[in-house]
Amino acid sequence: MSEMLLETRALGAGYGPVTVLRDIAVQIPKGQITALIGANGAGKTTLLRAISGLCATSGDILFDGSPITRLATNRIAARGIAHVPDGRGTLAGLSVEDNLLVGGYLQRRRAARAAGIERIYSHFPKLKQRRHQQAGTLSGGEQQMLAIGRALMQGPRLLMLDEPSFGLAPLIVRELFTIIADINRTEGLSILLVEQNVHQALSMSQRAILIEHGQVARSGPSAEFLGNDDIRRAYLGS
Amino acid sequence: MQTPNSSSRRIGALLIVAAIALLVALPMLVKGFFLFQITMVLCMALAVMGLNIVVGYGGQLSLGHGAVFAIGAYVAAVGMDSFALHWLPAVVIAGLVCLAFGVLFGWPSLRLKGHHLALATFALALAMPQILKHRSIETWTGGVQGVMVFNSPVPDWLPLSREVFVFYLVLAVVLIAFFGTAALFRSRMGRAIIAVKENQIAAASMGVNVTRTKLATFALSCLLTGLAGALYTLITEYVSPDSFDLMKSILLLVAVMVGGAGTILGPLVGAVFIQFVPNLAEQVSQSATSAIYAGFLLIMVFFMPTGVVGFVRGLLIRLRARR
Repeated sequence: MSEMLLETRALGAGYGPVTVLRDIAVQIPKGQITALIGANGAGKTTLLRAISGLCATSGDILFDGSPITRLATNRIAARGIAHVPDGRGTLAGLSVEDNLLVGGYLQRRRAARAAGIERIYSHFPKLKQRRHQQAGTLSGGEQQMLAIGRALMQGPRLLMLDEPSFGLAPLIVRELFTIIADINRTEGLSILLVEQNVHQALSMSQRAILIEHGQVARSGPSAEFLGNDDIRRAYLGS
Repeated sequence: MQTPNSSSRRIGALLIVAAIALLVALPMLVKGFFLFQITMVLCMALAVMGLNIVVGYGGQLSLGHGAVFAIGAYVAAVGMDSFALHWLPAVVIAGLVCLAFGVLFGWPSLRLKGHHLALATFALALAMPQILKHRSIETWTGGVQGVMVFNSPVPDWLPLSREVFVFYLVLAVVLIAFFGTAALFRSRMGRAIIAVKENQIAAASMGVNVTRTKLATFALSCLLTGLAGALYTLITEYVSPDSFDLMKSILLLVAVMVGGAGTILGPLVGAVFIQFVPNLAEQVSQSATSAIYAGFLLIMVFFMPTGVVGFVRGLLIRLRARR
């Protein structure tokens, strides 16, 4: 098996008195797309938040071999984890380009930020057309592209996407996933993808993790998930 | 909605150059009380610029910038009076004291979430007049009497009157603060400040240290408002504890809102409002000054909810869309 980029050990997470995740042990390999699937409320979003330091955790999270468990969110970002949250986190009052520039906050050199922006525009030509437009006035699909572009501006080693297809038209979703797969292929970027559209997620990823009731129910190559009858019945409706 | 394009930016730049030229020539055109009033407007604009950084760009509420203004004014006054400082170090020290104050006061309040900064600064504004009158520091602050500063700041080699010299001094500081703020909000640090206002979680996950950014925002805002206080001492030659009550803080906030929170030009417009509208209201009716002032304010709130600058900007965008 290929090298692990991120690993959790006995990870628990929750909000205040509420425990959402228990004893989570997952491994995210380098250079691949890992799909995180499961029913609503299973704890997929909470796992991403736990990795980003956005909720209370117990246990350990190792990123590239070193623990990041109790680091502040901004330090975790500085280690190379970019998180596109559910709801996209668009900075609505800023222009598209300023959103991208904020994404490049960790790049201290102006030239590095400018180069990053050109790279994002090559992936998302639509963003270039709208570069001076206020981000809040973009369509849902464009806002999702902006959120991904902004995360890429960080120059991350792991990109975590929380339901990028949420609320988007099928045509836009297809376009978006083509770009995501393209970024993974051309740049070798490791991606952890939370997705409601299970078929889509499994067919574009190399590995998958199924979470049920706050625990890992199954993990392995995505192809095995697609071939499994229980998974097909429960999540693929066939 | 589009952000301003290059042609409207060019018009804006021309207007700013024209305004600066007019201000530089102003002492040759007007004298006496009117020049004093304009100097006061510029001084207030500087204080409002400071508050605008924390309220308009930082998205935090401060109800105590009048107290920060008072600290700046008193440090400069005491420095010149009790310690016989030259005006320049006195003003610089006043600014630095307010910057340090911003860090020390902001640190505990900003670590907490929600409206703690608003409450803490409100308490500060309430307490400030009494702190200034306190007996333990009366030797320097003069208690209820306040401090008078008579020595002229005009250098011997300059053939300028005190009023004209102070006017140019205030104008110079305001221009530096104006262009400095404009540059700040086009920089990496300035974008981080706005990102924290718009979405704290998103800002943090892009690597922005939210607490430190908020603290820097507050401290920087205290620096500008404190400098304005120090310049106020030079303008009026006199500071007294009761001129820095809670109302002062509220008026600064009114100026931020009326001018347009989170805009570069807003503080200038807001300062004109709080400086001239009370006089205007008095001219309309001696007996109902406050009611008329309140009326002006309500009209502003109803017709220009995003402030004068926000209103004009919206108007320009709509005009361009129609063409």
